[in-house]
Amino acid sequence: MSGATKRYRSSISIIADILNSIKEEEKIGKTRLMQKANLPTDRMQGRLDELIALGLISEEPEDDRKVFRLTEKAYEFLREYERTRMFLNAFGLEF
Amino acid sequence: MFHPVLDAFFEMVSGGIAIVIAYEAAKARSFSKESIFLSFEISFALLGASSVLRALLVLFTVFTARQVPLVGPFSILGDLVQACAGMLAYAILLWVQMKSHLAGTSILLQVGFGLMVLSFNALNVFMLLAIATLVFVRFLRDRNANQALVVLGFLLLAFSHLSNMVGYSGGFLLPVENVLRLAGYLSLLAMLMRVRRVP
Repeated sequence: MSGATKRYRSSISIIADILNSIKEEEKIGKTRLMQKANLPTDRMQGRLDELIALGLISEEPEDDRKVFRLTEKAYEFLREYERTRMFLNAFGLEF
Repeated sequence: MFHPVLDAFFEMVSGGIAIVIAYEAAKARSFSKESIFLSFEISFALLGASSVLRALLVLFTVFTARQVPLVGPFSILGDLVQACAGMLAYAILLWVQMKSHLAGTSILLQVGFGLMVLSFNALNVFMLLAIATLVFVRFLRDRNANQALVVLGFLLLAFSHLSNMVGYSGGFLLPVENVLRLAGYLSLLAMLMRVRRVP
């Protein structure tokens, strides 16, 4: 048995981690985003497609690559996420 | 001592706050799609609704009585509803906390759930002994064999819960618990058959 315990990350925390990673850098490329949000390529692409479809991030070309930015809706999402996380945290629980 | 109307007012405000918490939990669940918030919704809705109901029953008792009664059937009903709702709500909250904090530590989790089962069984023993005592008082007056069977039935059920409490950790008294429960129900069945035999 390995000593390290793998913590379950809920879907909403993964989304929040991605959005917060983009927020920290204002605009970010896919490789850097994968490192910051700690997600493998295949899962990251699925999440990015989902976030674009939800209107939470936008994809823009920059030089020879693509970068992601948060939309206004994402800032509201992060505020709501923080309120929800704090509610749960007040009871000593987390996502 | 506060006037019952003031008591009811305080209770109504407490219930209102609990309902607001349930509403916030519902909003959080709708936003996050996480089922953990459902536990908060249900438990705080139960706490809030039972408090509001109890306050309304106290107000009803006060306004329909000619003088302010200390205890009335409606206020007792309110107390009962609130106690039952509270027990269920706190059990749900405790369940969530134990699942979250004790997951992965199976021994602690087992102890936690064991304590919960222990407290519920203690309450069951208390209620069953109370039922048996009240029927026994009636039996002392009537000397009715059916009442004796009912007293015996409830006593056996109480002992069945007691053996569950004693033997919970190892489960070694589980057969005793089941035998006692069966004996209790057989006693109640015997009463039923005697009653049905009456032409």
